Order: sequence, then C-alpha cells, then structure tokens
Amino acid sequence: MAMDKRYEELDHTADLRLRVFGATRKELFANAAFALFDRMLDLSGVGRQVVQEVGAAGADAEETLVNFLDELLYRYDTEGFIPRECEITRVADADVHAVCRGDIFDAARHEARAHIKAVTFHDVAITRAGDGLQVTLTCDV
Amino acid sequence: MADHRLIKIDDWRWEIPKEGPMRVPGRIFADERLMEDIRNDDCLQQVANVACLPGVIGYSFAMPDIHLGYGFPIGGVAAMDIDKGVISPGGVGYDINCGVRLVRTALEASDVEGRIDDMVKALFANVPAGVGSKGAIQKASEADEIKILRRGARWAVDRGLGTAADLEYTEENGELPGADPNAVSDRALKRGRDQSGTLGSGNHFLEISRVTEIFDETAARAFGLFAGQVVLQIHSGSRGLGHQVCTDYIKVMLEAARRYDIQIPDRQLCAAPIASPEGKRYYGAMAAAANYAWNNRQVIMHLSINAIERALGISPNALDAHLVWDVAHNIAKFEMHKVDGRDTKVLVHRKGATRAFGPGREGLPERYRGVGQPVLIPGDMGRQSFVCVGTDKAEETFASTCHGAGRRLSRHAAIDRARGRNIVKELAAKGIVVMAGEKGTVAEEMPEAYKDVAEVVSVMHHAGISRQVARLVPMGVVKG
Repeated sequence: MAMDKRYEELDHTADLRLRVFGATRKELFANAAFALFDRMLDLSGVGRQVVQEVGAAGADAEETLVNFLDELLYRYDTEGFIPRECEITRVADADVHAVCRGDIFDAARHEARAHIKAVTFHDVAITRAGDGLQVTLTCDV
Repeated sequence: MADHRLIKIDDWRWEIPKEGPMRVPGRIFADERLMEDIRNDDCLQQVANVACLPGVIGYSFAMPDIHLGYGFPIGGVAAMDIDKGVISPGGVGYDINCGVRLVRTALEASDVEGRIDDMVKALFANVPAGVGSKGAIQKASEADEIKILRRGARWAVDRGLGTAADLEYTEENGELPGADPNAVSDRALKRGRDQSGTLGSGNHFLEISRVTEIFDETAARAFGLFAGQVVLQIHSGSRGLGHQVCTDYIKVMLEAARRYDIQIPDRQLCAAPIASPEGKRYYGAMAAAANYAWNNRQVIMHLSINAIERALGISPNALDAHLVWDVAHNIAKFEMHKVDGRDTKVLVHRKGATRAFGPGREGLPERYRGVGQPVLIPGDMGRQSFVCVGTDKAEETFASTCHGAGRRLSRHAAIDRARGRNIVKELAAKGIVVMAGEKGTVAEEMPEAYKDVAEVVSVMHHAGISRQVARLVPMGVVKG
C-alpha cells in the first residue's frame, strides 16, 4: 500500500514528536530522514545536486534508525549537507546504507526553522500499522 | 501510562508513593493550578521512572516547571549515592550545561529610551545566532578547543574576553573539575570547533531587560541590582559539541546498562555505575562539554558588551557591565549535601533545574556568602523573568529549584496559533524589540507558548527553596 502521508507532527510540549510512516522498512527510514529535514527547513527550495552515501549501524532496528538520523544531523551540522531525498539501498536490523541527494546549506537561499539537536531513544519502537510500519521519534529541539 | 497515585503533602508539595520498581518516592513541587497541567502530561510517569534508577537518594524530584522530556522529565532532579548509584546522560540531556547568565550595568531604563532598536541590531550583528552560525571570534584551533574543554570560561578570560571577576561569579568558576577531553569524540570536537561564541537556535536568546521590582533589598544590594536598572540575560549552551557528547554516550550507556544489568524503564534513561569505566568517561566528557558551554557564554557576554557600548557610543566605564551570576540548567555534579544528617558527597543530576545554594555555602563568592546564591529564572520574551536567591531550606531538594517558565503549547500548536499574526509586531506594540536568527523561531517561542514564570517562581518561593529578589521585564530580545 502506498502511504500518502510520509509523517505527521504530534503534540509534545517541550520537544518535537514526529510519527513516521512507511510501507516497507526502506521507505520508513527514508521518510524518517525526510521528516527530520522537512521540519528543519523549507525543502522545496533545496536542490539534489550533492550526492552523499550514508551508512549507520546499531544493536537493533531502532538503534540503527536513530544512529542513521544522527549521522545525517552530524553532516548537516558540520558540512551543511541537507539530504532532500534518501534512497535506502540496504537495510537490516543491524545496519543501513543510503544514497542521499541534496544541497549544502546556504543562508541566502535556504530557509531554516528551529534546529533539531538530536533524535532521542525515548520510547522509540518500530511497529506495524495497517499494511505498513510506523515509528514515533522524539527530537530534542 | 500507569496511573500513579498522587498525594498532596501541603500547598506546594505532592508525592508519588513508592510502588513497584521505584526505589524512592517522587516529590513534585506545584500548586493546585500547575498540578492540573502536570497531571495531563506523561511527565509524572517520568518522575516515577527516575525513581527506579539504582542509588537514587531520598526522592525523584520535580520542579514546578516540570514537563514531558525524554528519559528524565524536564525539571527533574535526582541525587545519587556515589558508591551504589548510576550516572545517566538522560539525566543531563543533549544541551549539556545549557544555562543563563545575568549581566548588570550602570544604566537606567531612561538612559536607553529610543535606543533599544540600535542595541538589539548591534547584538544581532555581533553575536552569531541561528542554524549554521559560525563563531565571531577567530576560529578556535584544535589545541584551543582542548584547552576550552579543560579550562572552560578561563580560556576566554585568558584571551582578554572577560575579567577574573567573571570567573568568580560563575557557578564552579566556569571550570568543572574532572573534565576529560580524551573522552570527547572527534565527531563532537568537529561539531563544536566553529561554534564557540555562537548563540544557537530554539529557545536560546539574548535579552535586554529592566529591573522593575525589588522584593528583597538585602539580596538585591549584594547582587548589585536596583529598580530601573538595565541588565542583560544570556541563554545558551554547549552547542553541537554537547549534543554529540550526549548522543555518543547514550550509545555507550545502552550497552553498559545491559552489561551491568541495570533495569531501565525507558532506553533514554540508560546509565552506568558512577564508579565504572563507562560512568567515569561519561562524567569526564560531560564536564568537558559543560566547560565548553561556560566558555561559550563568556565569549557571548564579551561580544554583547562590546556591541552595546558601540551601539550607545559609551565607554566601558560608563556601561560598567559586571557579571551577576551564571547558572547551569542541564548538568550532573558532585556536591556535598546532608544525607541522614551527615555531610555526604553525592552526584546531583539536574535536568532543567537550577542549583540554589543557601547562605554560607562553600563555592559562593565572598559577596554572596551572607545572602546565598543568585538563581536566574528566565521567562518568555513578552512577560518577565526573575532573580531569586537560594536558601538553607533548599537542602530539601539537594539545593535545586526551577529553571524557567516551561512550555504550555507544543511548537506545532504555537505555529498554528501564530498563523496570520505577526508576533514581532505584537511584541513591538508592547515596547519589546525582537530579532531572530530563524524565521520560524519567533512563532514557536511566542509568549503564550509558555506558562507564566511568575507562577513557577512563586511555588518555590512559598515552599521556601528559592526566595524572590527582583523582577525583570524584557525591552529587547535576540532569538537564536
């Protein structure tokens, strides 16, 4: 089943809580990356000309997901890399590999909203939802 | 969530009785009104979760600005037995040593009438804010960054970006002992290198305020505060370096918790024994990040003072800026406290809470020994902030009190509410000049997104933990 909604924002007073959907685990990981950066920036003005490969590992699927997102935040913080779209080329419980296309942050061209400092491990669990999967991410802003 | 029983102890104190895996009861400071909000949130479950950690002493505390966090609630305090207890990165948070400093000046509000716009513009231009902002001082070399992690605010002061007195009036003298730069990863170092002297985004801010009311003349005199005075508040933390230290050690602690068989009700509460190699390394890295934050606020203070002098065209002597105090909001520290009547060294986690040492405590500068430690409680950008003072009675909470207003609305709800409105103009109509590094920040941080800090401060005042000294009202704000 194709999900029309990639993620939704839930009410959380202090931080940011995002519920991410995906028909498959690959789509779930790609949509989680999209959710994070869609919330931090206006992605409509972001190009796809910069390509980076991103990998991460973890003790289980949830840790792998959080570590993957952490790697993307790290690259954004240090290099300004904005992944507009991530194609998940391989994902297992213990590791993930992605090809991400985007642009390098430029204050003159890109509109930033509140910065996400980190994705937390708080209550993170990948669960079945209908025919697909979902996960709720609590982010420190 | 499990429905915990809540017992009212008195007008300001509530208790969650010890149940199931809890090792101690929970103790929440709130009045009836605030408790209505708190009850509707899962944060009481988080208070109960913290009470399950090994070695927690007395109570799992929550301050009246408690709200839902991850792992610990925001506004949570837990003191640990140093032999049997654990240290948890979730009890400190991602923005290690996020904190506030208050700078007093010789100016009165009438001296800056019509000049606030210029002052805010100068602050905005001089102190880098928002995403991707780079430091305004010369980029720190790798060797400098290591020195910053070891020596904290002293690094800036040694370079002429402040005075020795600034260190005297900073918690821990701006240099937490035991910092171990070797325990800080290359990733964290890389994330922090460009960011010294930058404000950051989100709820971080600079605020020019005026003192509108003095509640405690003696303490205000000791702190150098008087009615009508112009003061500056600086709220920032350890930037990307601190976030990465927390991220790195959450991973270490997830493994450690399995290895040491520590039962945790939430992954984000992962922890290791204080005395274990993992515990010691996290403490060393956390202290290094705390020092980075103190240096950051020191550099920001220097940049801000210069900006204000230039904007007003006055000399340093005429501005006569001095640091009143600098507090840490997110930190774990070894401190001496009374446990069963005996002076005992404990590890206090404060996650969105402020130390509130009473009179006579070691670690306070001579000038404040008689009255107690200044406690700085910033509010939202439209209403007010408070300066309070720690008391002897604060020992009840391991000398901890509230840290701010606490959000009432989610960021999402705040943006919805702000749709079609111009928050900057609304604040300007109230005489408050606001500039922000990021467009979305002002809506997310608008005054009505927060509780009134006066309610929060009043609870701790009446509970006898931190007494009100002065009220500050905003005139100009730079948001990250």
